[in-house]
This record gives sequence, C-alpha cells and structure tokens, in this order.
Amino acid sequence: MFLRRRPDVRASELSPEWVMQGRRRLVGASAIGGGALLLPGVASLARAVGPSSTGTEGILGCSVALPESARTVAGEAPTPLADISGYNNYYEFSSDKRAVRVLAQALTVSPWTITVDGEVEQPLTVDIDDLQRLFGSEERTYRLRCVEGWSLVAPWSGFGLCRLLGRARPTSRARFVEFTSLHRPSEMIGQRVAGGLQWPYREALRIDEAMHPLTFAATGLYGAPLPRQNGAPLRIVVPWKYGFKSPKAITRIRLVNERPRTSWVAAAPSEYGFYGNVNPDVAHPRWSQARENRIGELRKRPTLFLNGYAAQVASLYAGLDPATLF
Amino acid sequence: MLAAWLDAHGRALWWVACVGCAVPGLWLAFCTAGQVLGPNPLESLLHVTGETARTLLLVALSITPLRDAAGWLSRRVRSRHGKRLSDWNWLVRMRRMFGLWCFAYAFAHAALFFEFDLGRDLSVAWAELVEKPYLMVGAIALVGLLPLAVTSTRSMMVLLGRHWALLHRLVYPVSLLVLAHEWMTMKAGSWDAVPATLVLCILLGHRLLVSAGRIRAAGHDGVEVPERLPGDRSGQELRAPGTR
Repeated sequence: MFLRRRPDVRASELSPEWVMQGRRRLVGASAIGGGALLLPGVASLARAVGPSSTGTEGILGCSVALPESARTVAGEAPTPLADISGYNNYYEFSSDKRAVRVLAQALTVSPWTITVDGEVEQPLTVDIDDLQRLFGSEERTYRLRCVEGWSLVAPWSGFGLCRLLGRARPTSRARFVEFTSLHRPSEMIGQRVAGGLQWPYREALRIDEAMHPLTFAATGLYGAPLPRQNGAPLRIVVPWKYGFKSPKAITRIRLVNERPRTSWVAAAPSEYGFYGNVNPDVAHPRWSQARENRIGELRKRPTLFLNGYAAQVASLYAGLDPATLF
Repeated sequence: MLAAWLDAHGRALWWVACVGCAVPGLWLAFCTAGQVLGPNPLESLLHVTGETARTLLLVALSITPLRDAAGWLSRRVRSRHGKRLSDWNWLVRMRRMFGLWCFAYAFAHAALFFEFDLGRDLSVAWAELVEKPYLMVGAIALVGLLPLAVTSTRSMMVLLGRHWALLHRLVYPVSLLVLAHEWMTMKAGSWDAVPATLVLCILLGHRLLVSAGRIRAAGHDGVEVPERLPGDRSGQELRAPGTR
C-alpha cells in the first residue's frame, strides 16, 4: 500500500514492529472484504499522504490499533482524581496551580461546538453532545509530564483525534494542525490580566503527530465528564509531549500548510520549542528535565524518553536532531 | 509609652519572634508526618523553606532601617523614650536570631533538594551545579551565609573585632544572589518574587543613601552601632582585647 520501495529509504519512513503487524491485519481484512473496499480512515489517510517534506509518509491514523501497553500504564495506579483536578496549569484562570480548581468553575461548557476547517475537503462544526455518537468513546490511561518537572497518570476517556480529523478529510496541503482554545475573558479571569501569554491559547502539531493513534481528544476523566479545570468540555492529550502541548477547552481545529505560531513559543521562544517532546537529555534552559515529581511522591524519578512512548512515536522523529525537538 | 514598654519586654519579644520563626518548619514537619503536603510534596517543602529563608533574610536586613525610622519617629512625636538609637537595642538583639533561622531554613532547603531531587547523588549534583546557573547562584548564596552563621557568636565577635562588621557586609551581595536565585527558578509569566524584590530594593537603597550621606542614620555619623550585650547601653563598640 504505502510502503514503497525506494533505494534511499529514510529511517523516518520505517515503521515499528507493532505498526507492521497492524497493517498486516488490515491488509488481511481488506483482502477478505474483496480487496477493493478500504476503510474510510484509510482512504483519508491515503489522501493525506502527499509529496510534502514533513514526512507524511509516516502518517498512521486510526486504522492502526494501539497495543495494550500504550493504552494503559502498567504497574502503576492512576493519580487520585483529587490531585489531577486540584493541581492544574491553566493560565486562562491563574498561574497558581492550586487556584485553578476554584476559578475554573465559572466556565460555561454548554452549549459548545468544535469547528474543523482550513486545508480540509469537508469543513465541519460538531456539537459537543454529538461527539460520542460520531466517534465513540474509549478509555486511555496516559502519563502526563509537565515541562515544570511534575507528572501524573490520568485515566482519560474520549476518542482518537484521527477520527475527527479523518472525517474532515485533510487535503495534501495540510501539514500542520492548529488548536485554538476558548477566549472568553468574562469567565476566564486570567485572560483579563496582562500576562505573558497572548489569548486565545494556541497549540499545534505536525499532521502526522495529530493523526497518530496515541493523540487523543479527551472529554472525560475517571469515567466522568472532564472537570472544568482539566479542560472541559474537550481537550487534546499528546502523551509523549510536555503538558503545554495538550491544550484545553478546544473550540477550533485548523489544518494549515505553514507551521503555526504557538502561544508558548511566542511568549518565551528561548524556553519553549514547537515540538515539546519529553526528553530527559534535553534540559530546559533553566532547569534539568532528567527527573520528575510524580504527583503524590516525595522523591523524584527518572524521566523516560518520549515519556515512555518511544516505541510508538520515536519513528516520527528519526533523523531529526533531538535538541530541536524540544 | 510604647517604646518604653517594648524596651522593657525585649526578652519576651525575642522569644515570641523566635517561636514565630519556628512555625513554618513545624508546620512542614506536621504536614509531612500527616502526608498532607498536597499534590506535589517536594515542591511544597522546597517552596516553604526557600521562601521562609528569603523572608527572614529580609527581616534581618530591615532591622537597621527600622531602628533608624523608629528613632526618627520618636523624636517627631516628642516621645520621652525611644529618641536614642540605644533605646531600640532590643530590636538589634533579634537580628542574630533572624539570621540564624534564615541560615537554618536555607540549609534545610538545600538539603531537601539534594536528598529528594538529586537523589543524594554527588555526581548528579555537581553536573547540575555546573550546568544550571540558578543552582550555582543558590549554592553561592548558601556558602556566603555560612561564615555569617559561624561568626554569629559573641566570642567570634570579640575575636574578629572591627573585622566582624566588615565580614557581615557579605549579607548584601548574598541577598542579591537570593533574589536572583528566586527569579531564575520562576516560570515565565509569574510575578511572585516582585514583593520581595521591592522590599530588598528599599532596604539596600536605605543603606546606599546612608553611605552617600543623603539621609542621616539616627544618632551617629552613619556608622551602624554593633550589637551589644543585654544591659550594655554604654555606646562603646565591642572590641577584642588589645585592638584599637
């Protein structure tokens, strides 16, 4: 299918073992189905594969099933809900992580729609209440590592972001995906204070990162609707990147051709990079990233490369300098 | 009369302040024992010890300006007691205690970081110290506080004589390093260190103005009167036997 033979195959185009197995299952399934019938997700995937320089040949999409080890965190209980929902970086409300829980309760989360537009064949606006019907709901327990040096394990519920993006059918010009968070100073008190960040909060991913089966759109936590302080009604979770790459309260997803200017990169370009990949060997300019505080634990533990998801996502960055990937 | 009452109860005030300085540490010990330090226990321990040390350093630095201000105020209101600088010596006697508590919290701050963040690993500690300026600045500040704590006893004061005051001017660069350390650990967009920075600017600014002769230090010709023993109101400087 999209494994083409070329004399100069780049390392970034080689797929890890688990992806290969997924593809073989897929090929087997389509052969049974007559060979001509492709799953809708695969169809949009094939379209997204274009002559772009960002290595879109590596786009995986929702057709690839994640192994159990990537959907759960083995050998560790999730962080208690009281801690996950009581210790939040959410500058729209406050830079004080313990104050966000109180201040965020002012947010109105219904009605709410999410718009997907830009370089797509089918721009769409989805009501928050239709998400489950359209894209289903599943559980993902992920590690979350903040750039500040703390981390937690959160049991999210929601759907793979690739399902939503696939429905909009990205064009071949779509190379980046930009997320825009809510801008509502009347309810978000932090947006009324002049601070370091420009509102609305913007984050972005490369298209192959956004389409990766690990990239998750979360609407729930611990089986209940997402608390407001955790990004209700919908947030993005990118578990192999620092937390600032997982924006909250998403209202708009725009597919673009040029790399967007994201909020933290604009606010402090010397301290935050576009990629924000968790890497214990690449220090923040001011502090080390080699260790982290798991919430609730006193002693620090070593930080894992790509937050422990290297088996799934390391191939996205093969051939790129790790220092530029922060 | 407030000034007279304060002077008469100087020893009791000293004890009240001393117990007050112990409160943050006792609170941390209590929370650690009860495991109620919050979601990020290490952060709580480091923040409370660091901020307490910094605050006590500012308190210790505020004694001299405070005493000048108190004497000036007493003269303005034509108070019978409190006009002389020596009327406020009870305030000066507290300074050593504040300084020693500051050192104790700073030491605990560094020890907790070494134990729980660096995992008691000397090679990791050295690597980070060399690599991370905020750590180096904090470590230099702690090293700068050490000789001040060691020479805080009366016998050391006598031994060092006039060099004692000179040595203890080290507190000024140390205070600048402490605030630099705090600013360097702050994440972008946070302004938590602004109040402490403003206070330090006022405290150091007072000394600059005094040394430049722009304002008169109460009572004397701009030279601070060193700490005295309780009951010693003679106005004589402490001198080691045989010194000038």
